[in-house]
Amino acid sequence: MSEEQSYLSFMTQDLDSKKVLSLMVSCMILAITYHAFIFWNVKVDDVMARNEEPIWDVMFELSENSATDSRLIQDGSTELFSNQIDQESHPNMMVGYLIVLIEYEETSGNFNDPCDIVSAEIKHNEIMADWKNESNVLSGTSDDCSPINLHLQIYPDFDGLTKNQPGSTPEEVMTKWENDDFGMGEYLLDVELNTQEFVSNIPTQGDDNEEVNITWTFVMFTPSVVEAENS
Amino acid sequence: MSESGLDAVGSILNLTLGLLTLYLVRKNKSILWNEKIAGLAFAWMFIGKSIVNMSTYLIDSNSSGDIDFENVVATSTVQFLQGMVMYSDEIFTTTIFILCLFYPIPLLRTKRQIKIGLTVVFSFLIYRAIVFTAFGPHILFIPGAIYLLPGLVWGANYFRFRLFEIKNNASDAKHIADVSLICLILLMGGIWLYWPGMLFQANYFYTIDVWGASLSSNIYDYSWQAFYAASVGLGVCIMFMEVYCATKRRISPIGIVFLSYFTIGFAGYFILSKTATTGSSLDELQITWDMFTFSVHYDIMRPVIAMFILLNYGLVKAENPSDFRIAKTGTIVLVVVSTSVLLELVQYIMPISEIISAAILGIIIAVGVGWEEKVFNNLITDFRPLNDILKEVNFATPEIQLEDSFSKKFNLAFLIYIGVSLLLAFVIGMTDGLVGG
Repeated sequence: MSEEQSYLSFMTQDLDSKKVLSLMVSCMILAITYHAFIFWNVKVDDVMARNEEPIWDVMFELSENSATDSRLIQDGSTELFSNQIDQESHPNMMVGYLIVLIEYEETSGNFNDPCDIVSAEIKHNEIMADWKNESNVLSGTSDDCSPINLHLQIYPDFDGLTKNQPGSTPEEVMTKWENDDFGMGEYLLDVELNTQEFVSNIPTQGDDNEEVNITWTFVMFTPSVVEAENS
Repeated sequence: MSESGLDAVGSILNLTLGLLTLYLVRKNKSILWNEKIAGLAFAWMFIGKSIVNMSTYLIDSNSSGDIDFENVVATSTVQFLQGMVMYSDEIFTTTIFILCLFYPIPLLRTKRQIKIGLTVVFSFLIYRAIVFTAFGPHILFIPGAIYLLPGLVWGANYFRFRLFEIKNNASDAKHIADVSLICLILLMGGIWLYWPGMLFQANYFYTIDVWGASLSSNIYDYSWQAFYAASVGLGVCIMFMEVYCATKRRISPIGIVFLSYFTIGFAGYFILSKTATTGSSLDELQITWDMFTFSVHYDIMRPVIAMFILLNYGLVKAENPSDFRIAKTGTIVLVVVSTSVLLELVQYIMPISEIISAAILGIIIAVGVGWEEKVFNNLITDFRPLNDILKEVNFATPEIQLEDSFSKKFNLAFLIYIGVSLLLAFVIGMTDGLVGG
């Protein structure tokens, strides 16, 4: 007999069972209806914004690390300058960018002796930096004793200004700004000197060397993050 | 221990239990045909969840920070693993469908019905795998459908037999209600931890995003939540029934477990409801709460509940000393691993060292030597066959002789599915199938 009875007929064979099962199904339908109303009407803004990440203000505490070097360079020769940055001497600091200032004067003291030609180039090496950044000035030349300014962007996107950045958590936002591998290593700078002499019918005396001063300035930063007020 | 640590432990635990169950159910000659199918389904449920947990753990290990599918940050490996999570989770869905169709009361009552029923269930599995491969998380996937049929079937079983028990003063009828309720807890326990969020319109419920990214559409997320809502509706009904039973002094231990879930869910409302959106902006207390409730349910309670059903209701019977030892080993592994994980979680929030927590675990095991045997003996012998209760209400399980090769075919179907899943997940990984939808 039991094999002939279907599950549905067994479940609804008495009035009380029918009532309680109807109540159960009604409750489930009611819950779905209530949820649909809340989801599509009352909470619709929150629902639509559920995947929007909060915006964070990333701020940077800046500091500069400068070093100078000076050498007498012979005419027609190239000198290699170097500067080392390591994590031990700069704990918890990231390297933002590098500015190299190359300065010299015409020191011969001879009448009408023009400024020499100085060319400088930061050598591309293994250091982790934003070598392809468009704002980089990796080489420069001067023939009028004006200083040469070279610039290497080291930490991508860093310019020292506060950044607005989306992210689920402050930790997630900070991961972008806490990579202290950027900028660590030995920087190399080639500086070449070529002297000039005044071209005229009057005999003058030129020089065959010049003193070149190098100033390495590393702009370093420590990031911090707070949730933006309007996020 | 973090959530990813829980996943790794859960994976090992599930795999062990799955293989043990498969072995013991296959060897068990004395159980009814529907119980055999249920036992096999439980075994594959464990194995499927083991793959899900392991893949989730590996995703966490292979990614730093959030995985961003939309902005193509997810690597091929992560997409492969995410595919495996999805496909393996379908094993759970399928086994739940099979369970509700056969256990504790078989809905399918002839060989023909069984054949058609299983064909439909496995076809649905293949359909969903195809939809996921082709479209990713798409509404055609019918997200959340897993909750509807089992909710209706187990819910109906529960109310029918709870009512029968009260009306006819038949205390044994509560066993059917209990099994149905515990199956519902296994399936919906996690949702019931969020029930006030749905009723009181909290963001932590309404912004649930199963994918945790903007990969799924609003309608997809709505579909999931709608079935969650149905589960909450069912849970509220059961809560009233249990409270009513309590007033009649007929509360059952399973009813107490159920009410505990609802109580924890209520307490959780005050912690979780202050969040603006789900997931990302949870504070530390909310994350800890979620880990102790939601994650513990999915990673620890589910295997514990499944093992309880298997042992207490006789799906696994230890018919000889060697099987008895295997079943007991499985139980002890489950209890010890679960206890140690809970201790690890306590350690996560309390400043006690690993040495002290290891010592506490050692003391618990040392003091408790013998209790697990007692518990195990109670579990494995203290039950009345459910079919006897069904006979009393003239709805006994029909006598059906399953083919000898049934278990083999059943297991083969899941094995083939896992093989195909690996292939499909590989394709997803190679073709950036999850990136950009």
